[in-house]
Amino acid sequence: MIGLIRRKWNNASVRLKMLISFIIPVVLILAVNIYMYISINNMIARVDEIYVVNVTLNDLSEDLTFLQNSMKEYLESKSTGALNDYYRAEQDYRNGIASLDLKNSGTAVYAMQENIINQSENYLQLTGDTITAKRGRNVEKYKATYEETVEMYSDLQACLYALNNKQFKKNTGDYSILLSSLRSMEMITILILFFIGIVNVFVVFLVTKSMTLPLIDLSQAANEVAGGNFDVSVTTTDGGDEISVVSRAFKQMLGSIQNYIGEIKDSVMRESMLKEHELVMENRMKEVQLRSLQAQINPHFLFNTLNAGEQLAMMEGADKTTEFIENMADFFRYNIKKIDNDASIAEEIALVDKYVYILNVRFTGEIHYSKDIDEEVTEVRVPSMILQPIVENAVNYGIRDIDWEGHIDLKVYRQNSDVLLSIRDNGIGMSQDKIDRILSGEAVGEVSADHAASNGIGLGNVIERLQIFTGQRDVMEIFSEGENKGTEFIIRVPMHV
Amino acid sequence: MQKFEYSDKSFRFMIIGTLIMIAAAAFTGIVFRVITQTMQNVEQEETVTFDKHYAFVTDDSESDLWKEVFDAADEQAKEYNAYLEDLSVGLGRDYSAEELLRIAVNSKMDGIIYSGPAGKRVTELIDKAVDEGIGVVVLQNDVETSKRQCYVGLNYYELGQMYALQIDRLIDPENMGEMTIDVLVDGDMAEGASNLIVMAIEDHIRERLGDNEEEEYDLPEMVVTRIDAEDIFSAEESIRNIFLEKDSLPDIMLCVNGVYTRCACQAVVDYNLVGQIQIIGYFANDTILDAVDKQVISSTVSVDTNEMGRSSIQALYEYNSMGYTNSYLPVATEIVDQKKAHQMIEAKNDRTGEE
Repeated sequence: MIGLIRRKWNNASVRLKMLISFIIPVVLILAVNIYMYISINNMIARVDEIYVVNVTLNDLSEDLTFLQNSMKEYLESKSTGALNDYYRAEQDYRNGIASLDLKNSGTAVYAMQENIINQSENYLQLTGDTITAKRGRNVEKYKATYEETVEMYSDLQACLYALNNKQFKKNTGDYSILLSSLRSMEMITILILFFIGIVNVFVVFLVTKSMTLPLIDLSQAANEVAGGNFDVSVTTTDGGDEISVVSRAFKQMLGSIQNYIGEIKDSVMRESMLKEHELVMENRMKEVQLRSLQAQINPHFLFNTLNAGEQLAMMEGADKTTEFIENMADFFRYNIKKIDNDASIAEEIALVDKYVYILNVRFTGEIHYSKDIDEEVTEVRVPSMILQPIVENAVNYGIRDIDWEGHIDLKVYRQNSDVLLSIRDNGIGMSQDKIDRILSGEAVGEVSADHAASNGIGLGNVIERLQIFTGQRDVMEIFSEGENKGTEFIIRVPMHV
Repeated sequence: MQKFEYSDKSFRFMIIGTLIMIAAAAFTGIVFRVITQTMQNVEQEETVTFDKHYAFVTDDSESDLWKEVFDAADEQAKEYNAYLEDLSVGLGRDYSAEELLRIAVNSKMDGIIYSGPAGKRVTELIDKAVDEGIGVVVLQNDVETSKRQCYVGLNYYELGQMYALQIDRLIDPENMGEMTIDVLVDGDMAEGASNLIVMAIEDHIRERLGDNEEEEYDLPEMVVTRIDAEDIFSAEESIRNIFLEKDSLPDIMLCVNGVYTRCACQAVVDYNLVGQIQIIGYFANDTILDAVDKQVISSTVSVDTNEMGRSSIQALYEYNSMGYTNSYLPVATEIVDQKKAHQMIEAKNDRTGEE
């Protein structure tokens, strides 16, 4: 039950809560006031009733006097008016006596009442006899009975006086008690109303405080947030009032803002990283382009020259020369065309084929080149000019100066979701220290770049472009079992970038 | 860290506050109820239930004697579920016993206890009462000529003998002929009654002297003074007159009621006659006991007021229930001398101390 009320209270609106905390004491104060009003009214009604008996007895006394006087007047005048007065007075007096009911006023009072009633019966009997005697002109009798009535009248008045006095004293006592009770009730009521008022003030104070305090806290939290401090923790309840709703909304808003800020931060970070990558890429491209431009003067002239040479060789029927010149022309063309774009693995392999052919023509077939290609992955896109620089490196630093037969093996295969491109030579090998420096980019200047036979693109450049292209750090592995035991470069690119 | 637990707290405050306020309101209701209930009890006395209604009529209901008799009678009346009413209370002016008797008769009481003068009118009223079926018991002064059902009190001859026993101690047979004994009686006491007292005293003295036949002694002079008791102060004035007007004061003064005893006592003190006039009183209230103890009064005849009161109610009750009762119920008397008075005073002081 209490739980249900509590839930309802928690879900009630602030206005309803305030209304309830105001209505309950008001209703209670009203109830106390109404009860007090009714009780005091009842008491006052009783105060009014207290002296009713005295009024009745006074009336009786007056009726008795009127009765006695009217009888006397009749005896004196025998007038019809006096007789009528007598009968009327007799009836009034009888009615008055009959209305006396003091059975609940104590033994003494009741006994006095009984005396008065009995005396009255005797008295009325006697006055009746007196009137009858008068009408019968029995002078002796009515004189005698009149004397008796005078005595009885006097006794009755005395008894009425005694009863009236006794009742008055009792009533005065009751009146004093009633008055003091009324005062006590008034005092108690004032005290209780005062007490309820104080409790009410406390309740309203505590209830409003408990409602406004979180609002103040919330406003402070809002100020903190407005000042830029989002590190504010807000605990909410599942209440249904406006403040709970506001606090929950505030908490939710705070969370959203924090998320939003996080996202913006990430986005900015990503963007700056992207810009950084772009800048690096651009730098590298520019470097490549620079090298390429340096070489462009010769290739354009060379293309034309080579085309002329090719045609000449064809006309002369020198097929080998024709093939050689064609391959050379294709090699340089690829260099110029592809430097800015990515390429398929197949294109990269074709370039390597041409390069090795050219070298074998130059060095009379010293290089034994073999390849093992998984044809399913040859369409995977990779940055252009990544295989040729490695093959060039393998030739220049691996097998050029060896005494044994030089081999270069190209292998392209799939491993899980990656495509691996392996260039292996059986040359002089590479120390681990050197491998580490190449992979960390420190050995850029030492390898390939400045070599006269190079096309100008170093391993560092290849690694960086691969990293930017794939978005991964580990794009190349270099294995060498030691001196004169060859080197293997493995490029790892994902199937789908 | 911001915490929002206000709902729970406000609910708690609300519940506790409401409970306190309801408790306060309930407390007010209970207090009001109690006060109202008390008021009803105050206003409404017990419902009257009594079987018989008796009137107590005396010529001086304020005197100690009649107060004691009334209290005893009232106690007895309650045992019979009867109500005894002192008719003189609250009647604007002092009513004589005769007037009160008239009221009692006209009020159709079930019974009347009467003590007062025994005149013709009183006799008529008593007869009227008896004719109307009202029982009448007369105390102390018998109204012998009336139809009263019962007389409760002393036999005057016996009272005379009680006085005589005290006189014995005070007179010397050799010179008692020179002594005067004044008997103070009510003005309206029947002559026969006063004569009985005098006779009883003289008989007793003669009886005592009868043992010694060798010498003849004169009897003391017996004087009967009738005290005018027409109104409230006349008794005191009459007794003072004795001291002022009489050339020779009596040696012994006999008082037949408490009022005369007190007045005589005060007079001997005022006229410096203590020891010269021996007073033999009647009744034993505090003043009289004190006077006996100090020997201002020689001794007093104490009446058993309790027995008087109870007997009178018993007589009325018997008459109401059976239609007849004893026509005479005696009341025990006792002589209180100095020693006895001292004991009674001490006993009373002890009772007062215990209370």
